[in-house]
Amino acid sequence: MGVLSSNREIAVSLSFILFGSVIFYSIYSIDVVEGINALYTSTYIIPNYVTAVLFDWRGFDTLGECFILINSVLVAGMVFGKGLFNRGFLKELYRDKKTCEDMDLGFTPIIKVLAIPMSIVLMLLGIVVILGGHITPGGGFQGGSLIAAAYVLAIISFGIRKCPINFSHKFLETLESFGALTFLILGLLGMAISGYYLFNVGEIYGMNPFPSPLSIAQNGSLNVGIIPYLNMAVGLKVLAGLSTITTLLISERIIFKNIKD
Amino acid sequence: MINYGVITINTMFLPFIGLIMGFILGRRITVKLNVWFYLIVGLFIGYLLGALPYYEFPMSYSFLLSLIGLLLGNFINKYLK
Amino acid sequence: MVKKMDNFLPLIVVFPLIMSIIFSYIYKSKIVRILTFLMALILVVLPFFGTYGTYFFGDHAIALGSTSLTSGIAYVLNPAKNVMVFTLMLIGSLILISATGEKKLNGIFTSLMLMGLASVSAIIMAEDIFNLYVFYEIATITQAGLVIASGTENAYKAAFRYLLIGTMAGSLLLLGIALLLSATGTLNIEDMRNFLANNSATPAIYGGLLMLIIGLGYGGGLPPFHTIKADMYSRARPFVASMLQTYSKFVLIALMIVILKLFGGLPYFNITRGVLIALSIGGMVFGTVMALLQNDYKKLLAYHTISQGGYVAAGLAIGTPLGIVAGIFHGINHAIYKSALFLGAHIVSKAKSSNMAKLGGLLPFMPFVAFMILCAKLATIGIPPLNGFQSKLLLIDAAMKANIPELAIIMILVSIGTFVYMMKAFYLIFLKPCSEEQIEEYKNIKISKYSVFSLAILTVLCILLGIYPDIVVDRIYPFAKDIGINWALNK
Repeated sequence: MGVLSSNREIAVSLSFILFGSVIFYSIYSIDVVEGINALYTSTYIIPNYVTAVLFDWRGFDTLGECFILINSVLVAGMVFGKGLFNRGFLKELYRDKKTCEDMDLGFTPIIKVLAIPMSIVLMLLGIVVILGGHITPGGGFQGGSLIAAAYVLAIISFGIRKCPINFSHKFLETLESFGALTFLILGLLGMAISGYYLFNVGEIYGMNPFPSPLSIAQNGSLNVGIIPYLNMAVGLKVLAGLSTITTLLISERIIFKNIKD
Repeated sequence: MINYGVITINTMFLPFIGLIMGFILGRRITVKLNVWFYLIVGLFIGYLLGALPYYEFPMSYSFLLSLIGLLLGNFINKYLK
Repeated sequence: MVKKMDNFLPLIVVFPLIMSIIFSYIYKSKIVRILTFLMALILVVLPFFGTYGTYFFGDHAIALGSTSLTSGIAYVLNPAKNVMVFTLMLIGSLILISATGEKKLNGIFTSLMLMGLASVSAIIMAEDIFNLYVFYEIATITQAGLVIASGTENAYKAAFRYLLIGTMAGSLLLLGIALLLSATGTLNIEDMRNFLANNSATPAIYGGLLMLIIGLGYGGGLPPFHTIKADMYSRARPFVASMLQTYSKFVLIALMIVILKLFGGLPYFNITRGVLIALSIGGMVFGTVMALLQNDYKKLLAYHTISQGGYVAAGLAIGTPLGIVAGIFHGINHAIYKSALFLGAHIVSKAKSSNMAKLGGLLPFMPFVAFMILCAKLATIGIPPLNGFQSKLLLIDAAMKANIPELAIIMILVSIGTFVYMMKAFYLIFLKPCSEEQIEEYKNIKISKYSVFSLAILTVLCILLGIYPDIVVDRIYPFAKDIGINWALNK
């Protein structure tokens, strides 16, 4: 046994060194070719060029990334007993536990007093980051994570039962589905207007989809288009997804609810 | 004379959406919030934050309006339940 | 400037995604069963929405000016890809139909199935390597979720292990894509191919190729990742496992095509070709040897899937047009007959269990099902009037034409191994004499009509493709000619 495990460790470390040196060598000798980035950095769509790449040039990738998160949240819910074919394993695990108690981490009043204003300010900052995604650094992912962080802060300092921010499971599900559907349907809107999915619609029957200061549109041809809406959809979805994962991880109540029926 | 900035549909659309989002979140806050405290703190933070680029406001109206939306949501919350 | 909508290609991906969101929202509702059935019907017509050619998302086509590169995300649909997407959607639809017969069907399961179908069809059609990666990740998480859905302890463990390894393999694939992007300055596969053909290789390109092969091994279940895949297939419910293996077979084909397209004609690809062939031989041999040892029918099928994945990879790795045709055709055939076998295993394990020692004498109780399972088994072994024969013949032909007779011999030997354990399994399940109590027990078997329907369609397809292989082969051939190169090993 001892010989075997040491042999295995030698093999693992050798392959690790070999593989690591390959990766390092290839990263070390990167010779970056500008390629398509020349176009991305010279074409003006909106002031934030990163958001332009994320939501305009490569909008479908962002849609896919959203779906990675949605999918992970679904699977995480499944691990905790939602929608399984057979709940025998979970029932077996939780047979002896009659009730679930909330952990009290014993935080001092200082934390409890400060947590609410902090999380409210964080939430508002999150909204500003989501809304300003097309002109300042930030966007849906970052702003959504900020709001989810506010929720996590509140939930850690008060526990799930006495939490002042009450994101119910149904609310989060609705928000997530709404965000994702908005993204998908805005893509279909582009398809209806121009024939291309996720086309950045500049005007709908002569109307600007997102009224914003005229100085943003430098060429005059295209305003910010639907990018702020896409940002909002992603923001809602990320906030709901991360908060759902938090509620799943913080309490066993969800498992009890799922294995009851 | 206080300069409020240019207030048109074009400039107020984004803060107004902030108001709606703040309202949605505020409906979910169960504790009663001290309105004056948050307004003063909000004004201060909004001033430090500054308006978004291209929006020529003296302070971040989107932050302020989302705060107002959140407080509004919280206020209504108290009376509905 | 309102243009006419003439190409509905994105709907192939987007429509299942929209429906999956809706299904996950209403997962407890009673209409899930009916909606699932309707969705299964829609899936079959979905692949015909797209028109052939290149589709540019967001109207970001080839940029004018100094660079002539594609600026956005492009998808390509051609007859070969259309056949693959159609097979995928058809199998998905049949699995959904047989899932409607399940007692505890819920929206989450349907949602995950649809997400997997959408992402794998996106992987097949994507002409953009980063988009491919994004959907590859979705497919990975979906597969883990589908395994967890069966809700047993072993399923949890298998899915967890799969996800752990998947984190590693996925991030390495991403790193490889980043290296390729930095070295070539584009993510579009066609542009990247042109760049690689006209410029000398740098270490970053070698690194990228290595990482792509790791991603391929994980996504397709080649060694050294074959054990976790086999574990997944055997732990999931059998009808879910048939979907899982379809997903990974098409991911394998799609990634292999990407590698061939990017590097296929380059002089330094020869060593890589050798490595790929070695990996696929490893898959074939390991899979067969492990399958010969199993007592559990599901595990046997799981290892059999690995060995057939080796065939597909070997055909594609040869890289001649004939080899590519054979590989893709075998992948399609394999997806069909393997789904039939797993559905058969589902029906059988509903009857009693999937442990072959406890079964036996089932033939009089389900003669029709037994016949269809036998058809599928004969197809996997490669008996003439069935589809497996046609593709294996093509594979062996391709190996001989590339002057690698050793590969052909290994393929035949592995086929013989397949024959041995498949017939053993058939004997143990259907023909072995059984006791009186067991016969009493068998009398109250209820066979789900939905599963039998799906099984029947798949069997008909097996026979149809066995008699008229040209339906598929003719569609793949132009595509294979485009990406394959003619070569032969000189002695």
